[in-house]
Amino acid sequence: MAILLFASALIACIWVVTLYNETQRELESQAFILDPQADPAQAEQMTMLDAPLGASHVQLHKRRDYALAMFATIIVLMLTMLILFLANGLVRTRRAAAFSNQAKSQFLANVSHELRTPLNGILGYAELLREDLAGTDAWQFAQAIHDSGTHLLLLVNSVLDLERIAAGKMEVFLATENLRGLMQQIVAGHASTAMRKKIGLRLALSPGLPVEIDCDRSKLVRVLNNLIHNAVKYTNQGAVTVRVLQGGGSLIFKVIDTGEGIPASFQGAIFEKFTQVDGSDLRAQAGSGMGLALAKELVKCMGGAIGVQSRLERGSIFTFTLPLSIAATNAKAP
Amino acid sequence: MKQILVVDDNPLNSNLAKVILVRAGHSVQVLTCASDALRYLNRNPVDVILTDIGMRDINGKEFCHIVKSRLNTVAPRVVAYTAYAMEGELASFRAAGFDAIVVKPASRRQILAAVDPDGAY
Repeated sequence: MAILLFASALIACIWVVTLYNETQRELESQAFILDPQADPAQAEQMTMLDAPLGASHVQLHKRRDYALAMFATIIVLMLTMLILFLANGLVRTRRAAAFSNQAKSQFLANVSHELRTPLNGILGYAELLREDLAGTDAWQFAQAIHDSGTHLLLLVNSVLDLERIAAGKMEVFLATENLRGLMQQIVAGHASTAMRKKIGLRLALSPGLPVEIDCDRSKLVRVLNNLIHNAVKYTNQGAVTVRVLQGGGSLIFKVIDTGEGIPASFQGAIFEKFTQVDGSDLRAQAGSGMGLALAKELVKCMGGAIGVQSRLERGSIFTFTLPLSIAATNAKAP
Repeated sequence: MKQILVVDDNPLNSNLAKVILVRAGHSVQVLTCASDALRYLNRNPVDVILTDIGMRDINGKEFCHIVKSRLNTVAPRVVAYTAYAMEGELASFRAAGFDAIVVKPASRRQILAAVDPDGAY
């Protein structure tokens, strides 16, 4: 459609230019007879005399001016069309982008729904089985199914969270929490894995920490769980220590391990999505590489920052900060 | 002990909910669609309804709305038992009048707390 309009405008343009050129040539051939600057009335009178020779001088002038005006009009029309055409293209591109974002969100929502339904069966029945098998050796098999399902659920949640963050839809919900109780609960959640791997797991709270803090519990829990989970996973001897201290108006959380460490060249990239220290020898411990990217985004959401120090064969220290809210009480922890 | 009606077209999930609730001492009836559930409710009073959302005949949100707007009866507690977990979806369940939302996969504790918030687990 646009191309057709454009072509017809182009033909009109060529026709007008030809008309102009012909008229101009004819005018020039008459120039020696008449002074073009002459009074039009007089010119008309004079040209009427030699009318049989061709179009009158004034008529020619008019025709030339008409051609010029047509030419200008067509050029303006063509430019307008070009602008409209480009603008239309831009709008369409924008719309397509918005649509593809929406399609992506819808797709992720569907994937989430479709994965959760079977996960409900896996986790639910594993929980029942674990209960029925309590006291027998088979209990650990039910527990293993449950652990695996929980891991899968965490992955589903991580993908959705990264998508929410990308879409700017992540909100922070603050509530008052007992810091010591919360930390003990989080660390205790990793005790059985640490015990199985025969490594230590310690919680060290510095003296003088606030008893209660205002924080987004679920986000804080997930960041800590992620870091502790990684620390336990990559440590085969020694211990994992979770330390909480206070400084610069923030709580400082450190997860310290005596694991295999992260090569210096990799330390900058581990907070990017889908990155892993993934040499073939570490294949056995491959994960999705999403956990730290999510941890970084969650910490950012809560107003803090995250970083890592690590030495190969010595271990790693992941540190993140959480700005202390004004509502935090200054009472000393016992 | 509560009279509980579980409505879910996925038998694995409804049976799971049933076992969990029965083991906790509740009396449970399982149905696979909302229209059967509405007929059942005409004859049998229940304390709590645990319903899926994505069902073929009447979806869980409509079902909740119908149950809550029935006259001459004290509306039972209605709990959404669903795999829809996105914020927008959860907000629409709250708007539909559900008393609680249990997102699948749900632990036993989550299901029991949702159907009977005053109970002990």
